[in-house]
Amino acid sequence: MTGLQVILQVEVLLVIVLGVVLGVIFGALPGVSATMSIVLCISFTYSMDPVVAISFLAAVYCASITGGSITAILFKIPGTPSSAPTTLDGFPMAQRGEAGKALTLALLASGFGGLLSALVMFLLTQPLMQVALKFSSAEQFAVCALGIGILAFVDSDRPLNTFVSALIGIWIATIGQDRLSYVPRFTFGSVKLLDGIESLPFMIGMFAVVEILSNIRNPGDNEAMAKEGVTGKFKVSGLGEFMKTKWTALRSAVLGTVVGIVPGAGATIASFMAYSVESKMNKSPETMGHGNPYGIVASEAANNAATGGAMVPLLSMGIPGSNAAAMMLTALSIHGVQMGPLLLRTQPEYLSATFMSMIFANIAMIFVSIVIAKIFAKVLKVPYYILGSLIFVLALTGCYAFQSNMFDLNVLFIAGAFGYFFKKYGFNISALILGMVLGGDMEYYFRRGLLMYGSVGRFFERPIFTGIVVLFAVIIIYQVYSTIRKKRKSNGAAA
Amino acid sequence: MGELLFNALMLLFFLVMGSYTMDIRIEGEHAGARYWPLVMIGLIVILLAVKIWKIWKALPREERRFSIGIFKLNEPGIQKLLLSMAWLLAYIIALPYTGYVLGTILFFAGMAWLIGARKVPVIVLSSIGVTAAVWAVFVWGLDVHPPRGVGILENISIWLEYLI
Repeated sequence: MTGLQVILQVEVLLVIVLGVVLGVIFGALPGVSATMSIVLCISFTYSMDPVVAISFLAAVYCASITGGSITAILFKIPGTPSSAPTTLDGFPMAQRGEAGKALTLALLASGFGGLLSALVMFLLTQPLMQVALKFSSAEQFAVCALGIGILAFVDSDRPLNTFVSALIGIWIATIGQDRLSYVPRFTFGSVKLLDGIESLPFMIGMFAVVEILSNIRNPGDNEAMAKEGVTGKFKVSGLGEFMKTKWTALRSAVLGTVVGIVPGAGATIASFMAYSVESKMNKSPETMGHGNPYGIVASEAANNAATGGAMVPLLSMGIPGSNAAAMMLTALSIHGVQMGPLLLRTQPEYLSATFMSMIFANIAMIFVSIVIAKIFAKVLKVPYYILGSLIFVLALTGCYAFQSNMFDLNVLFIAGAFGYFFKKYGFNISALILGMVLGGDMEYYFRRGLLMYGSVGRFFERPIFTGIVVLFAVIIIYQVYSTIRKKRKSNGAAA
Repeated sequence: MGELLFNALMLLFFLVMGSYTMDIRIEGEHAGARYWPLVMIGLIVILLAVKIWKIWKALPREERRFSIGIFKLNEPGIQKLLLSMAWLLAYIIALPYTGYVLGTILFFAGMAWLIGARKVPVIVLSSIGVTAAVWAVFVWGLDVHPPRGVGILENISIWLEYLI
């Protein structure tokens, strides 16, 4: 059965609509990111067919990014970090009575960005898979290292912290039985650790538990903000307003897709970059940040476009392009689906199913979001002690439901407690998770490559490996150069 | 100072892990099971040492001493945080004995109170309602079998599981 045939079954369509509804609601809730939305929804997929599971999670992913714009516009609270730029122009528009127009623009831009990136995902993934099939262990090691290295050096604010975080994640991946020699490592005699640290409970701890603990430590006042927000009736405006911003939407969607493909650079970076570009290129730059509709379109088109972009390296090479994609990789490995170049040969229906579900989800979420936007003021009035505790219970139950194993809850607790301080003191949880997800493969391919070629020097006899290393070196040099230039500028300004 | 302490503890942890790495068995392979974690730990230790040195240099002289005050234990936010972690740990430890239903009701109620709920009827009703809703979705909807508890609690859980 092709992906299209699977998606067009009524029950699958209903599952996708459910994913869209849950995604929009979770995405709109402040403090619940797109990654957390997927974390909370993974437990619903345990009994699903893998193709249906990926469709459901893709729908949750797309919709949660969009959901963030609802509270960003109506209450000046970004539901997800990637909707933060949307608050700058969305809330002023809502305040002057244009909430309906702002929401329509946001939702249409989101849908457009998501659809474009889904198309790019579908067109790019297959050729990339064909290239990846030519990869030997050396190239696969280089691609994993590139994925982690890009993340470490793109975070130019604290590259040392990010790099250490990634290394810690890679080390965590070594816990358990060695894949090549079956020797136990860091298990301390525990049978439970022989299979290593399961990534799902660890990620739930690192994302969901850390977020709730952070909110307990520093509570926001969503209820007070909701009272100041725009809750009156608003009318949805037509397509005409969006067509005036079509070139901004196209530019931002392309930018968002490209950024989404880069591992570690997800929807948040995409939306900020697109907003920054629009600020420079807009005909009236002085109005940006004061209710300029182009600001909303730029931010929302880019952040949704990043969802499709993030799926490209995930499907073609098994390298997640974002935290949320890393969660999807984990979720699908539970179902025995191995992402990467062999996917097209062994399970081709996944690629078309993902594509079709993203198309359908991006269309459905426009309509679902409008309905939810009208009632969301009531949801925000629910006190955080109910919402936070509910999210805690969902996370714990979902974690236990994974393997019906109490040990997973222990992992969740340790990850949550450690993760709170890890994040507080400036380390990068995304880098740690990426290191954990890719670390096992990195080691495996590196050691297999050494067995095949005898030495690291012989890796450079392979042109694709050399090309990837050169690309990596260029990125590092550029990042180091721009960091030094920034420091010199700020020293000069201080003097 | 808190950041310094955290980084120092991590450094200590990885030094200990580094020493355990030497116990990992290798059988004459070119790059055996020991070397990759050893390299990672080596890099982590070096980079953490650099970080600690940078943090120490950036600390004002008067802050370069350890005191219990750095943990800010008298701050309400910190107290809530630590109590939340302790409550979470208590829930996980007690879960096999209390069973999912009673354990989660108590956990939810306690967590809601810690986060700021004060009206007892709201706490009681919401904890029962949320537990029931999540139970319905996971047990009846997704066929998950959560911990049943011991004694009469186990019997009640089994009765609930097979109610539908």
